[in-house]
Amino acid sequence: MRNELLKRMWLLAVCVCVLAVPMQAADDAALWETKYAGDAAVGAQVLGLWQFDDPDELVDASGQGNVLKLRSGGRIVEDGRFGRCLESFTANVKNDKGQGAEVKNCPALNPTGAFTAEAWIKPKAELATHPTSFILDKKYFHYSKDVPAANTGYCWYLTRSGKGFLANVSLGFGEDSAWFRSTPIELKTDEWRHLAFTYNGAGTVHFFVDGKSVGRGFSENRGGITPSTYSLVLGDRYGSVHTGFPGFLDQVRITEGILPALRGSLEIQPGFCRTVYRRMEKDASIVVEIFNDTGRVLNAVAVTASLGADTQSREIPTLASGDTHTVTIPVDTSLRAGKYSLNVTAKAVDGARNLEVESVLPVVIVTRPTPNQMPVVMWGGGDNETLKDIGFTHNLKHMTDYARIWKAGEPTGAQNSAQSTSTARMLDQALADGLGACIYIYPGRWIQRNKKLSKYLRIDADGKPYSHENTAAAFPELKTFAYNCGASVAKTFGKFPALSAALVHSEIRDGTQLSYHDYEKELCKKELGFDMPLEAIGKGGMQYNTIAGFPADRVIPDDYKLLRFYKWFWKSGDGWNDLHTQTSRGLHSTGRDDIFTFFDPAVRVPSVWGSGGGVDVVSQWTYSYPDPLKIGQATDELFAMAKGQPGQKVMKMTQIIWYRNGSAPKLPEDEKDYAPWEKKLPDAKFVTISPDHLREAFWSKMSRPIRGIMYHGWGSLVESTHGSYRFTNPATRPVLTELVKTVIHPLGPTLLQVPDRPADVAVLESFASQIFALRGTRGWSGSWEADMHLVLQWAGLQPEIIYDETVVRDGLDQYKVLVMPFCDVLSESVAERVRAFQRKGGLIVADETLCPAIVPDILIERIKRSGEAKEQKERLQAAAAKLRVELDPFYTRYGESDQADIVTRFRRRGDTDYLFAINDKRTYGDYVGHHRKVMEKGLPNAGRLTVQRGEGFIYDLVRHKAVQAERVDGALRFDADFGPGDGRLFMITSVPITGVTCKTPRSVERGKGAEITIRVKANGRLDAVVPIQVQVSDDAGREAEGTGYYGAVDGKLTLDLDIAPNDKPGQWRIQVTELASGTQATSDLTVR
Amino acid sequence: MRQIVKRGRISVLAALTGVVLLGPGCAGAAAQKLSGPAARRQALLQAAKRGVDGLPVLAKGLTDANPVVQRTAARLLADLGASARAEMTRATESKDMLARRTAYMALCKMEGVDQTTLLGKALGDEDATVRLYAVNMLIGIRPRTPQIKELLDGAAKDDSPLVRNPASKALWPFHRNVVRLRDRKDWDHDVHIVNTIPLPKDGWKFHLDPKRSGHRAKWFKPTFEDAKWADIAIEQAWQKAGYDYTGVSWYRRTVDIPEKIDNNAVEITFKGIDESAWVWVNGVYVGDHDIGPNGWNVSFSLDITKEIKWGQPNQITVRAMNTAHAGGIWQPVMIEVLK
Repeated sequence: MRNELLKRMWLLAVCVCVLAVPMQAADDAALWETKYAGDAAVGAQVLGLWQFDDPDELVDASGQGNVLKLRSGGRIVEDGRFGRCLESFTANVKNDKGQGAEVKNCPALNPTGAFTAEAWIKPKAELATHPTSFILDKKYFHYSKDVPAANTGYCWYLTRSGKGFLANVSLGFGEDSAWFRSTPIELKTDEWRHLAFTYNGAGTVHFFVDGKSVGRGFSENRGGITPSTYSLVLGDRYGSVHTGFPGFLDQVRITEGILPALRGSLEIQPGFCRTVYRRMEKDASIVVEIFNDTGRVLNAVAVTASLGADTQSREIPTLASGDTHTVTIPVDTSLRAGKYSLNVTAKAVDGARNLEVESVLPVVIVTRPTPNQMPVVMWGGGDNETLKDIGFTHNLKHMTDYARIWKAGEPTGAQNSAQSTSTARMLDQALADGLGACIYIYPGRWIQRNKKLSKYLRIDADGKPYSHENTAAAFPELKTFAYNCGASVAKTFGKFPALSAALVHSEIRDGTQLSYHDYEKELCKKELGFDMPLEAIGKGGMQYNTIAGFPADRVIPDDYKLLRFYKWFWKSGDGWNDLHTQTSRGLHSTGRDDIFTFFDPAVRVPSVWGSGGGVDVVSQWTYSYPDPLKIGQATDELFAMAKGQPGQKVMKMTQIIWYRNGSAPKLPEDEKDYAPWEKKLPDAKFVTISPDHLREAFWSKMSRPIRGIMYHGWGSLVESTHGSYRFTNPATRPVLTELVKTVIHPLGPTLLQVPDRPADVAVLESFASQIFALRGTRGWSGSWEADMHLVLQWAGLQPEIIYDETVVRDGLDQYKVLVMPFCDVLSESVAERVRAFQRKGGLIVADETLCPAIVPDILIERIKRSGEAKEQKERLQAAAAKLRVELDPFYTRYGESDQADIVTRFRRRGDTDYLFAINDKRTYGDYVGHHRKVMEKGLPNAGRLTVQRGEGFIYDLVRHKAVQAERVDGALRFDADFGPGDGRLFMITSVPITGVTCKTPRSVERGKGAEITIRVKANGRLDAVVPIQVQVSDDAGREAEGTGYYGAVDGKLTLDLDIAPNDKPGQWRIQVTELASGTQATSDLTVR
Repeated sequence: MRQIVKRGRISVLAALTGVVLLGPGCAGAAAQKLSGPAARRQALLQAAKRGVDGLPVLAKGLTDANPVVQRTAARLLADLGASARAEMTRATESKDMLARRTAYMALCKMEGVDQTTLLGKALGDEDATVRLYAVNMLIGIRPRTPQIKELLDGAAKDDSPLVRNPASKALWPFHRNVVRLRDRKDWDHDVHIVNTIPLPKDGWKFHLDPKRSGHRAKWFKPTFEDAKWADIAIEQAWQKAGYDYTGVSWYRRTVDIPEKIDNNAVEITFKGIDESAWVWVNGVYVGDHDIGPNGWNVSFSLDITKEIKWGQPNQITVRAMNTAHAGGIWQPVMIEVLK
């Protein structure tokens, strides 16, 4: 509700501001409401005018001769704003062609200085579901690209923003482009509105709706636009057919200069500052800009601004045309969370008359977040309202002008003024909506795509650039640039709390290659002591049997030249890891250590530490098919990687999208066998993950101590109209929403404080074998190593993935079983530790490819996946059953289920276990099951769980109740039921929970603090983190700050409530629920 | 029943007298009876610490009922080196294949052992992983004597692809790591065929190679003179052209390739060769299709992005082999341009 009010308030503020501006030229204002004729149509200043009326609907009414040509999807229809009009459409599968109309390029359509563009538009209902809709395009590229062809001309398009829209203009200036964005505007279906923008030829774009200002942007050091050679397109984009305007256009006009009717006045708007704040922030303030857009000098300008009790006044003798004066107003953030009004009045003498403008600017104060909230990141974009509805906490945003930073050569403004202001508003809105912004920060990718910097591309041994381009990231100047990018963002946007995460490149190392610049060759020699080996012909390594003199027992010395080289290349030689470290350092350079930086897919590399460099978090995306337990395997790989970077955390992404070829490759021969989505979207390139897979994958990753979760594939999660990601399963989104709201929100603060249970089973992912036998999952979870991990899960084991480096650094003493899939080649130090492990009684499980120097205790022959998904799973589960038989005499599980389709996993804090049990019972459903590639449908299940602990009191953390268990042979045993794809989470404590208490002071004055003490009662010391729900209600029953979910360490929780000076006095209530057994306590607090 | 608790290890006394606590390789703290496999294995580990003195206990372990215990015994005996030569020789007859394999490995390392003969014996083992070990060892031995070559030749005909494939590859001098664009682990994008250049059905040259020596004579070289070879059409088995033959034969043809087409990769695709094939483009070996008799009806593609010469004649050579029934390039061949 608060967010909705805030959005409405923004719109109101804009309206108030606009309504206060006196119309200077009523005649002009009236003019745009009429059908242009006479000088307004054929005057010298008119560069093109299209009215779509008789006698020739496509003629240029300006007389300039810019005759339109209808594109395939455009047509002239009746019921225009003035006579007939142009109808345009969105493109879709059945209408995959150009929309609207176009006119050939000519010099007149490339104004060299100031110009104005106008159009009457009448949207259809589809506009509300269409992310981007073009009104005009003569630029082709509405996104940043460092090629000349992308930086000419102009385009004008609408984008969705919540329930409203933003008008956007991009102008090309030759070397780069600038973007400008209006404030939110409301457009209704079937309603004609007059939209316009002006460009002053010197960096300022001004937006108008029905003649009223809806925002203005400025880009420094700009002149006239660079002419484009593209045709001018009305109602669609020039070169792509998926961004057509779904609606009607009439009286489209382009004029030289700025129309008098579209001149501004004395304007009031927030400057580059924050307008949304968290409670109790220090030194909060808002900057208000008073801008003279009258075109004349104003005298005796007096400004008064008041926020609550605080009023500031300024007097300015003269304010030149185009000048801005700023006023800074302090904001009292101790006030109760809510919306407040900043009233600003500006008076001036405009020649012989007085000018007075009033504006009400919204200021919003939001509650502080409760601690230990688990991020739920949409890896991509989405509208705030839907993101919040699903339960996302972050989505990805662009806010870096790389060219600007490269040019500066040092930390600078991350964007120009117009873009920064627009970004500021976006960040404020995100904070108001309770969302975080995660920035894409891709300095290396920018270098790679910048043709002028091609000297930094990787080159092969012959000195030629690779066809698959990739930046030679080792160059020191590129690392400096990466730091500068991070530091520029921190410097520009670091004060915005919503900026809370950064994706430091994605997929960038996929394209890395051995590179042979002189600098890189010298670096190799300097760090390794030898030249880059000629035998190393590819980044992935080579088959040992092609190497002359390779040891017969396949154990190589640790200083084996090629091993050292490849290890160096993947750890530091290719440059990416350190470049990411520098980017991350830059982002933290202003002290915002709470911004978490991450790299993905971090394990799409050989198994050697260092991927992602010094980023705070490593992540990886994984497709759940055919077996969603793969998500756990991929997560374990991330933990193996992070083990090399002290303090580094792990997050895990599940793809919402499924590739067709992995799930439903070909349409059934007979149409009657089509699934409903195949009838509707037969050409879908990507389809939606099935709901049961999403659920199971969710539990699989949550059973690991991850710091957050991510999803990618917005177009397959919510209804969308275009793109390759198609929305083919509406049941998936509700499942994600349910899981976030019933698991992440209540239990996230607890789980973030519960580490893993130390593993006694390890799986070695051998770097030496990956390099010299071309093994490895490379993060795709599709190879035998990953399948072996599935076998172990189905065998009731809880394996930890380890690398060669883990073995060498940490040894193997902590394990009882070492599993070695595809470990053809070992380094001497690893082989020696494995032998020592075995000598001490450790068990080796391996396949037939194992390095001959090691003899396994148990052999599992490699299983090649073939046939249908069910057969594949059965074969792997048969191997799991066989392994159990061979292993059981020697190994006792800490916990297990009585069936392979219920997979258990433990985390542990103190003497408390957190037992996850996941239902993997699946079959072919009616979604993609008929293709037999994926068993996408979960089945209900029930089983018996056993935990080898003598004492224990079991609590179901999702259902919030105690669970009865029996004690059998010194172990706890209890039954659990499961829905399809379901997970269960049980907390097992050493002492029983008997209740919860909540203590508050009897009373507190407004403006003062009150300490709330919550204790979970137990028969003894509770060595656990217990989930707690706290509800703080004021005298009127309204929710107050402090409300939320917590994880009470040792069952203890202390909250400091800061009662606002404007809070409602009276009887407040604090209600506490411990979410293990479900007991509650209530305490009242008198606020005076 | 008396419990003897010595955390992390078991004494021989305990092994002989009663119950033990499981060691680091075993579970928890629960005691198991001496008769349990875990305890027996622990006893072996303890015995091994006594070196040669523990040999009798270890030798007895070779006959344990539990295969993991047998393997442990074999491994620990192997660690004793020549002292356990007799036990290791007996272990080559063990019922457990890993014990046998361990024995072969240990014996191979011992002075005075005729490795080649021993590995020849291992090649007769009933278990494929033992034979695989022998093949891998033989591959590693230098110089490659005629006896080794003969053994590898035999292994190249093994029933198990596990054994056959490495043996065949060891004898085959050409090698290419083929990773197609669509199989590349670093390529998370759709791959589309933007152009297909079909290879002509007619105009191929053909020659039988019953001695399988054509590659030594470099029949794949672009400059090789094949004018005297027979003419043949593809998209049919060579039997249809009158060759009632089982074995290796060669196809050669030069095809004109158009001017460059924008691409991310180029592949040569064979819709079906009965049953194995080795391919050269412009004299460069580009890979094989060798999955055994089942490969006769399996389409395959090889990356030729670097080998193709746009706007020029390109020489294609295919070495085909069948082991039964029909043989040859019996389905269409094409060059596919990928984006």
